[in-house]
Amino acid sequence: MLFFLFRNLLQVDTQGVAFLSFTFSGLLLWNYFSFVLSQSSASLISAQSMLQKIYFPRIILPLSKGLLGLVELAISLVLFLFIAFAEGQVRALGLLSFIPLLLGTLAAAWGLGLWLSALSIRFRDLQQALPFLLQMLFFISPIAYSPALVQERLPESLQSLYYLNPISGILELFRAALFNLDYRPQAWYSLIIALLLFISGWWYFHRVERKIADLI
Amino acid sequence: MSDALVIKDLSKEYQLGKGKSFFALKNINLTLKKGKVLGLIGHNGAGKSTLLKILSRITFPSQGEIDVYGKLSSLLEVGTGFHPELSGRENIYLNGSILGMPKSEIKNRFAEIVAFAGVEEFLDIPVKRYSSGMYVRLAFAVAAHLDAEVLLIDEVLAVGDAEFQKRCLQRMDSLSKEKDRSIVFVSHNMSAIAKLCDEVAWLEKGEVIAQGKPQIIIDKYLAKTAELNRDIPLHLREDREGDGRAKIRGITIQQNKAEELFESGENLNLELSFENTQNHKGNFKLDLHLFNSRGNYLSSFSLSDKLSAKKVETWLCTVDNLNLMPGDFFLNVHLYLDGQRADFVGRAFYFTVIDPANNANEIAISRQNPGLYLKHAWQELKS
Repeated sequence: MLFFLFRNLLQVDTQGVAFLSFTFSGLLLWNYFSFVLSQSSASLISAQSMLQKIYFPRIILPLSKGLLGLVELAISLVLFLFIAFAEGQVRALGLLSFIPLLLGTLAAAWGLGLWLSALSIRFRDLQQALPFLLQMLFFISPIAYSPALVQERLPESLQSLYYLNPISGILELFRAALFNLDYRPQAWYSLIIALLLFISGWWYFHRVERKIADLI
Repeated sequence: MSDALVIKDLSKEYQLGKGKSFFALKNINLTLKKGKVLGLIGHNGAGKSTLLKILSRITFPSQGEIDVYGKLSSLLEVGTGFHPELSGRENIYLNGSILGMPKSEIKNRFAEIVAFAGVEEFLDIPVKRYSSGMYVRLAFAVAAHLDAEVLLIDEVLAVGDAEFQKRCLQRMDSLSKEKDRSIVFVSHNMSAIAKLCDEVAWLEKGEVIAQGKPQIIIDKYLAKTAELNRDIPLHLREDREGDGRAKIRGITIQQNKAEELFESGENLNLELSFENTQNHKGNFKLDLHLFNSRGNYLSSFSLSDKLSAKKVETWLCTVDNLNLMPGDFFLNVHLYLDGQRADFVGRAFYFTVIDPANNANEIAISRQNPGLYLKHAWQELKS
């Protein structure tokens, strides 16, 4: 459905890259991000009974979801490579950027996941709100369209703010490497944001860790 | 002997909101020596489980500290961390890892664990298809083979059949005596506590109110419990033991009396009824044990007979000349069907003996440990 919406109705700009390769490259990282984020933020609540009976380092629960997501990612990756090479616009060397950018995505997903899992002990409704937040994030991130689409409509002073969303910058960098495109230097901010999210999430999680069993 | 676990001034406070708070534990000080078993007893809500949770680092104390010498493992609820879809074999590894056993060690003990649980034939089917007994046995088997210096065990014996419970107790006993492991054991099963523990702490409202030799503390605890149970009619009492094939329904005096008050030397006529709940056929044995208010055993009234076809059997027990010193007494009632205990109610009947003739010695009364009054006579001998 989204496929038709973006390609036929909105006729989005994909910076000259074949639509399928372009979109799939975005979805590849996005799906991993949204899987890890939603799973890890629910991880404490769903392991509630275990948390009250057994001791283990609590942080394992949200972090382990990063590994779980790799299964789905591996399958999508094979599919993506197939499409991308069929459409013939991928630089093989550019694929190397996948690993550091995947780590960046993971840092962002873990960071937010740690925050949300720790917060949802007190505010359970967060779990209900999360799908909507993810949906919104999906539409404001340049997954099925080029970031230029947004950038052109923003005043210059706000353009850097766009990269507060870690997904925007990471995708821009990934596609730049993959399809040999230009990117804005501000895109690097996204990686820094991802790292900050991870560090702050880790810090907050450890701060509330002792109270988890009492509050959950 | 070195310490295994030291608890210093431990408190746990829960916030109830609106500035109110609640102390689940208050200033707990306990020491567990290496190779010893410490029993924790107390009524529901006394703080036993909270204490175990703090010891196992699931929750944290508000104040105080805990020193653990060596590795600590806990079994707070049987089967947590079991995954229903995985097979018994896989769950042994999973649960062992969760409880902190390295994989190589689980491998070494695998056969031992399986034999202890008695699930050899079912190792490769998912545990969701296990009977609840098998499930519990497997879970306990894994925990019982943990190689931790300090082991915390919470009320696991409430489940499983008598035979398995016995094996669990033996296992815990051998862990502490032969392997020098230290155990903290929470239970409502007083006979298990008495058998297993070297020391007992009694918790009430978050505080240790008594601590010492098992039998002494248990007696005090039971006396207190009995006081709470005294006003509950016999057939409604929940603090029973036995397999439940029969139920003691009531004990009343068959005399015209407003209260259970007897004169020393008077006759005692007791009417006792019990219900054969499962229409068991065979023999029964009733044991009434007489204790004084201090919990010292004095005498027994026993009856053995064949069960009749009636649902409720009623028997009369007559004691001629209740030769007791003045004081308070109670009866424990055991009911056996074909040699197996079907029901037991402690302190099932209370009565008081008074001594209008003033036969008893003042000093004997002041000791509040009344015994038997032996009929006697004096006469002066002329030489």
